[in-house]
Amino acid sequence: MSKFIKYENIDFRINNTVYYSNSVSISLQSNISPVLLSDGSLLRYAPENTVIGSLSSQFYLNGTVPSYLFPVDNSESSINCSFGGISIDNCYLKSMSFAVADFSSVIMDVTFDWYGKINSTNSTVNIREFTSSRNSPLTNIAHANHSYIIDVNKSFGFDEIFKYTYSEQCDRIPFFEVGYTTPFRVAKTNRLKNVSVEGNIVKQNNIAEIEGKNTYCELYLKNYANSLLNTFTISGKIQSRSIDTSSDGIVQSNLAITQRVAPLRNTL
Amino acid sequence: MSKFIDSQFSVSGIKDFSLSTSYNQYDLVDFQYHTGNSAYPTNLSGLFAWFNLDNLNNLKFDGSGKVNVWYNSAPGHSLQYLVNLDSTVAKETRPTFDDQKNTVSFKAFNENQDYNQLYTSIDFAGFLSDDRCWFVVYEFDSLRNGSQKVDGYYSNFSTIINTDDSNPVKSSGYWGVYGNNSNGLLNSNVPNGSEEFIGGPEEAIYPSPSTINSAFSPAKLLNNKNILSIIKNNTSNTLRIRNNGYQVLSTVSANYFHPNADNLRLGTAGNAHGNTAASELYNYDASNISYYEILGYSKVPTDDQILQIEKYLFKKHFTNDDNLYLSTQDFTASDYRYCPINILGSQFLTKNPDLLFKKTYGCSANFSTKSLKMQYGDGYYTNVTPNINNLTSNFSLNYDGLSDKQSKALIGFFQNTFEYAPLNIEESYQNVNMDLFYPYKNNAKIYFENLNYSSKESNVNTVNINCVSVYDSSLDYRGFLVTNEEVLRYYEQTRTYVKDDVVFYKNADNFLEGYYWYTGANNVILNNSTSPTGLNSLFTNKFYFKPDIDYTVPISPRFLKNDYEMTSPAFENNGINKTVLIFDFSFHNRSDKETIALLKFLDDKAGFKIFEIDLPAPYNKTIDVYCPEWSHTYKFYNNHEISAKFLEFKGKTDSDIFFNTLLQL
Repeated sequence: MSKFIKYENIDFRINNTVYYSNSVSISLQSNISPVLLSDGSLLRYAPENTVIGSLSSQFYLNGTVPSYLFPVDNSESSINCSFGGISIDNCYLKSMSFAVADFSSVIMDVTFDWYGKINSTNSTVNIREFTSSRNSPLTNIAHANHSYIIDVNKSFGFDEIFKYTYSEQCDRIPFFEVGYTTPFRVAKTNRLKNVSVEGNIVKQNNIAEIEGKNTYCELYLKNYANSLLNTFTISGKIQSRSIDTSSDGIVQSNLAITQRVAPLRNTL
Repeated sequence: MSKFIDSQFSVSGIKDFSLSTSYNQYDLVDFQYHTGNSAYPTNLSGLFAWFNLDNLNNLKFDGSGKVNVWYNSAPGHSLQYLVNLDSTVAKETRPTFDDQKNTVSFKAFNENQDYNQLYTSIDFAGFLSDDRCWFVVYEFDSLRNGSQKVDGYYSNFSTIINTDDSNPVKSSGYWGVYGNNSNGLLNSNVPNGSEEFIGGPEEAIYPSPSTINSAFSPAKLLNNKNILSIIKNNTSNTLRIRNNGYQVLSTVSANYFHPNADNLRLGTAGNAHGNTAASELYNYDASNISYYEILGYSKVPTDDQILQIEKYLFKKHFTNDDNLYLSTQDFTASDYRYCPINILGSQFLTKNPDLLFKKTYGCSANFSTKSLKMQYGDGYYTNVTPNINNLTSNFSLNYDGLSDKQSKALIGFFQNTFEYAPLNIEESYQNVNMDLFYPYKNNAKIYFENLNYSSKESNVNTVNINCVSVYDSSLDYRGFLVTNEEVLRYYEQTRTYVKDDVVFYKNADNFLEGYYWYTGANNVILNNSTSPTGLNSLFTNKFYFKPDIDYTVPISPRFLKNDYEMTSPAFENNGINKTVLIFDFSFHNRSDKETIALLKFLDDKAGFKIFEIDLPAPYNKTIDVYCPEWSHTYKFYNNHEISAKFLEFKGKTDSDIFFNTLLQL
């Protein structure tokens, strides 16, 4: 059985919703450069850009994926993340992905950029376990058991699927008002959806014709009790295809699909 | 689109201001005062009073320069002018002509209850007995508080016009303002600056007026010109009051502007001002008020005619108010309070881009002198400054991360600045008042020159506004551009300083007085010896800032090389001062503190004044230079980049220009 972070005041929350996380990490990166003067002396280390933080987490889905966890969505708003007694208000989602493989629960990966302050409290005070009423039943956790993917226009070339992954990602560009180090806008650019599928041996003749080949897939993510949590679609092109095997394995096909999400400009 | 030709804009979708229309944030809204044409005042019949300032001959001045006659320009009514026959000059009862505003300005003196006034020489009886209307363009320069008590009496109302001079105390031809609601103290339910109109002094009974107590002005009346329209139908007894296009009152009453109200008094209601029971509560009826123009008609114009006359006054007195505005938020213009010349509308429509757009890192400034170099040979020259605006200042304002709609609004707004009219015949078209960026001054007067637009992706754009500040003289302390408070302070020996602090050192000796820069250790206790002019001074007025480690100082000496056709060239000596250095220094990644000190130094030298600089190794020599051009880029928080050009100066003498101006905010 997987281990969760399981204490109320050190749980991982996004927008105050508790997620069954099995890992969270935060890091910071400064952008400074030394300033050398004409007499050879070192004046200082100057900030070239703001301190950019990263936050990543893996968690089990026990419900519908909320709209703020879709990187290709139009909303650029910041969201709050907290765990272990610290709270960060200005988190900006960069990527979301999950994999569905036989007999496995679905784990979602999310990564954020964040700016500004970390608000921290003493997380060791009043540590208490989750009460049973706050824990969602494990049957609500997204699972491969009933989840499936549909190759709508039959472009996979194989009929047995071992594993598939879905991901959304975008670049986040911060914009700062003069005099400030916290951005007033963190724009989304290069919005992408990706799907990769692992399956059995290829059964189509024209599998080498991948350039410009259209694909359309529908992914149905369900929990263990067969309740539909989310539907995902991707309408893109085949990016790559491979076939491989090894002495201790089987012949296996891999297919990667990508879609550039291109929001239209404002015509006002 | 009204006054604008669509083809002059590179953006589309500019909306007209019209009632019942909804607008979104960042919409470009073209405002004109109602659609339709204006009407020249004489094109409307019944004109009996027209007091304007189109010509100074419309005024007559007494021996002390005060206005004692304002002539009536209405055809056939030249004898019915406004006059002040008071011979008691000491009481200062006559108004003045304000040539800046082009108004006749009336003052009221609270202390001794004196006031300026003008009144009709001959009333309008016989001509004006039934319907009438008045159009007044005015602004209050002060407003008395509603609860203010003077010598035991409440002086709580201010006259706009009184047309019932024969009934001075309980005037029924009166229109004025109750108290001063600029801070919302008298009525917090209306926008600050909205004032309560009153139709007669008796309504100003403290603490609240009685009859017309809901007619609040949509316009700011204090220090803001506005149009008041009074339309009275003496058949139906309907009184309509309009202010800046919005009808604030429509009531049926015989009490206001009745047939006997047939004269005109400005500046005061003209009540007894005595210690009588009747006038006790409204003893004092005047505030400072300025009049731009007054029109009177002996009729009730149609609604179209009212709009035509109001539009005539608007176009004449509200220069550039009919123009392009930026919508600050989503709103619906449900009535004329939402037009931008009214208080409510000004909250939704603005011409101040600083309210909507954030300047981002990458803003830059370039300075260059217009001084002329007079060469004297042998490396000697002098700088001649041909005009008072010696320093040209160009600014590039960076707006990054704009949405498509924000970009369109910003581009359209600045393209429209060419459509501003001059405020007077001597000036360029009106500039844009906006804040620059650190450490330059706010509320600068800039002219838009050009812009660069670039798109990163859908809804992610950058606009660079390139503008120039031309009317800020470098020889006038107000023209200095680095005006932050930290560089505008006196030297005080009792306080301590940190490196790069800037002080102004006052001294009777012009050679010693001026700005100094602190170069000592932080927070050292100072004494006479370490003062700016002390023997062991911790201050300097040399250029002490060290450039980046990667610098170049080229040497190009002057010499003569005579080329001969059939033989090798001959080299000859060319006088003295053969090497006059010209070099550029860069200062990257400098802090706010060092940047403002450095820019203040260059700003103070104004592009032509000579100063000392220590050349770095291998030269290690102190030389005289001036800096004719420099640039500054605000790269990031606490990170600036400056580059400056220096020209060596060989002929410094004691007769050099000293222009030590103390800057004070």
